[in-house]
Amino acid sequence: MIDNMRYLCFDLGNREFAIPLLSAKEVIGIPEVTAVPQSPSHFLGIMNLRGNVISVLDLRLKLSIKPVTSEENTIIILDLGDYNLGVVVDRVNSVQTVEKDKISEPPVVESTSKSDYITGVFRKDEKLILMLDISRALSVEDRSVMKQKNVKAA
Amino acid sequence: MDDFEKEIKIGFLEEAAQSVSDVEQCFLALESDPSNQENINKIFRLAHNLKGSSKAVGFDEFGAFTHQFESFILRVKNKELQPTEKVVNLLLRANDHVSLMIAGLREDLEARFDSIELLNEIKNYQESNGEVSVDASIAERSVEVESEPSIDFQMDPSMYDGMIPLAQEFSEENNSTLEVNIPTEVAAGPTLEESLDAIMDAAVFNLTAESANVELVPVPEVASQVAVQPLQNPEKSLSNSVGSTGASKSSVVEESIRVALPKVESLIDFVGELVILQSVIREQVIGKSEESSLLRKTISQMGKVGKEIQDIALGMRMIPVKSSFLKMQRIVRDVSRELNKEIEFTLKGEETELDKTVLERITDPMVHLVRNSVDHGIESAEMRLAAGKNPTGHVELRAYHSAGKLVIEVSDDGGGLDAEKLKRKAFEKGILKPGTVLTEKEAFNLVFAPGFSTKEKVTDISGRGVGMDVVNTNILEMGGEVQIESVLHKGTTFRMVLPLTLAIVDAMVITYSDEKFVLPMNHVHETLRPTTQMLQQTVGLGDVLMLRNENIPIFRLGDFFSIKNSNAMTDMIALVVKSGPLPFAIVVDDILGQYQVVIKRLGKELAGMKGVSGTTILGDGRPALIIEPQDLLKRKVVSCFVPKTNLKVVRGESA
Repeated sequence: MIDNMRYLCFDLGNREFAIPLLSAKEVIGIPEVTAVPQSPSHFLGIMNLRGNVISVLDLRLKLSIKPVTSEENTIIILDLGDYNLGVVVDRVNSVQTVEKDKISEPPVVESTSKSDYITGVFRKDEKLILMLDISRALSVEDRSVMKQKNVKAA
Repeated sequence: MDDFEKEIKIGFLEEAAQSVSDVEQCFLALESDPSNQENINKIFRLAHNLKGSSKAVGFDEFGAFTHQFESFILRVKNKELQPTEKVVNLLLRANDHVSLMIAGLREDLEARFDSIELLNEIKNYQESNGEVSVDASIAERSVEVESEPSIDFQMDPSMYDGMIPLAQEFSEENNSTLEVNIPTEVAAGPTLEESLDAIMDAAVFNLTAESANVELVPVPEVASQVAVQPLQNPEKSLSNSVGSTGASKSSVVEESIRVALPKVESLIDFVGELVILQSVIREQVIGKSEESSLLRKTISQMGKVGKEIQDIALGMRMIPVKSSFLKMQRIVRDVSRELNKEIEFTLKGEETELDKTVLERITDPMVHLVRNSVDHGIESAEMRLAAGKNPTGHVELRAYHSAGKLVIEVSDDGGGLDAEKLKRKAFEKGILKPGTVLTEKEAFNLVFAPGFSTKEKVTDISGRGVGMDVVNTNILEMGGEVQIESVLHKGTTFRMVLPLTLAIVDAMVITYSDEKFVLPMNHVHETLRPTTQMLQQTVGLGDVLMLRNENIPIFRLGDFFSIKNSNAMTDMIALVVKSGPLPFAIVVDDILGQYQVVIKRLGKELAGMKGVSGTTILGDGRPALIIEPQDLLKRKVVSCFVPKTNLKVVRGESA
């Protein structure tokens, strides 16, 4: 049983999120992205990462968070097993080691159905950091979105 | 099972699969030329190597079987057994069994196999024919008790004396049968040649220290040499020493290593990236006033080297068709036996290279075409004689490169396709509407229709009418085509024309409203700038391009992807696509050029996207989507109008 886990903390809008460090492969600046027609608005397109073509999604648009700044952007390249994706975030802050007992259940709010990708919260310097289940956050519709769209188009 | 054990086992299986396929042809050659000692030696070495290394990595059952196999082939090698048809058949079956075990073990390292029956058959054959081996100091003996099941023991003759009473005791205690075989070849003691084979084991199957131990225990004085020598120059010392005993090693094989495909693929990716980076640097430097000639020269040199490396990297995916071709020999042999036909089978161009993934995907279609030629193509001997032909049929499998494509031909000198008969059959089966007029070529293509078979009798070889349709679809899917040439009473040739690789494609880079797209060339039949006279708006059918005597639907590329573009069609370029059942045209803003692009698969998150087959990285380093025009058409429900009765359309209705 691992009691401590390392998390990558980043900003989306003025909120801070964390994902397990191991699910992030690297952090890069935004390269040129080729748009994919008829994709959802948070799907920015595809990029060339050293010879590999990777889809880029805007996590802020995906989670309906208003970006603070559109100038300084960063892409986190995720390794989610079958999926290699890049997600755009506002800023990458730090890597935190969090003890397991410091993580608490997310506070129950009224509209739980939309925030089931928050798996827990922890405090850092009096600030609350939300722990994100990134594949759940993305898979809500992304994985099948192209198919659904095509059915409609046909 | 720990990881190390797993690893050596998997390593062994890979090696073994390769060795088996390398030797396959020797078995067949043995049949046509039984006295060829070289083939027998090769087979013996295979069995011997497999035995030694399988035991070393812990496949005991496998080892036990190959041991018997080895004993058997040794008898043939020592001319104690004549390589009669029966012997060759047994050898082939043993070889099949070995392949089966390898395949089974690859799936499950703990798999078990029922080898008893075949082992007994081999043994019985040896016993019934083996009485000549009187020279052996200890003849084969067996202790049999009347009950089942039985256990086989193989052991060193020195242990033999002690074991018989033990074995008897054991069998009495357990009330079971015990059979003790003392293989004669062990009794004869290790000959010089066997020792040399052992050296070869150590060198070729350098798997573990045990593999050497197992084989070399009886000859310690040789073992001590082996430990030092093979590391220096195994290839040379082997060919010298083996040559001296008369065993064949005449041609020195080019050295090769195995590399995992993902490694090659990532090499290709990185080299591609390098080439792109080089072109970025070139753009930065060339045209600048302060450019130095040395810098410019170096950069262009770098570009050449990069391209060279790219070619080499891409070539690494290529393998000769030989391995698949050799399998066909076996198929022809088996099928012709079954059908009682005399077939002479020739292979040409086995060295022709193609991408491994293509080869894997054409093997099944190739098997089908070859079986088909033997079964349907070649007539029975009586019919051939009646037609004044040589009673021995001739089937040829040939591979060659032509205009950047790989061509594989299966030709026979059989009865040929009867266009009239094909048409009649198609009408009967309702595949073709009555009254349809077909050219000879179109009639030949009927064989690709699903559920079509002209053979009256359905055999288990072919005749169910499912295969040809699958062959055709498989080949089309790869961007190839199957052509048929046939002359009645003279013979038929099936020609598969395939791309050399699925990794690279010749493509056009096109623009539409500032977006770049890639369209594979093999889909583009022609390009033209449409004039006002050629374009016609129709009610309900959309725009129509009147191209010479054809009327084909014309679309804007953006219509499929909801990209707006207000340019007039007459200012754009039309690409006529004829790769599918329905010709159509797509208009685009401009064609930027023709390139060879490396295809990259779509990520799973985009896999459902219709009309796009993959992505690629363009010269400027940006990714672009590769358009699949046939799929594109599926995005739109097209109310098709067909200029001419088309086979595939008819097919669609019948389905």
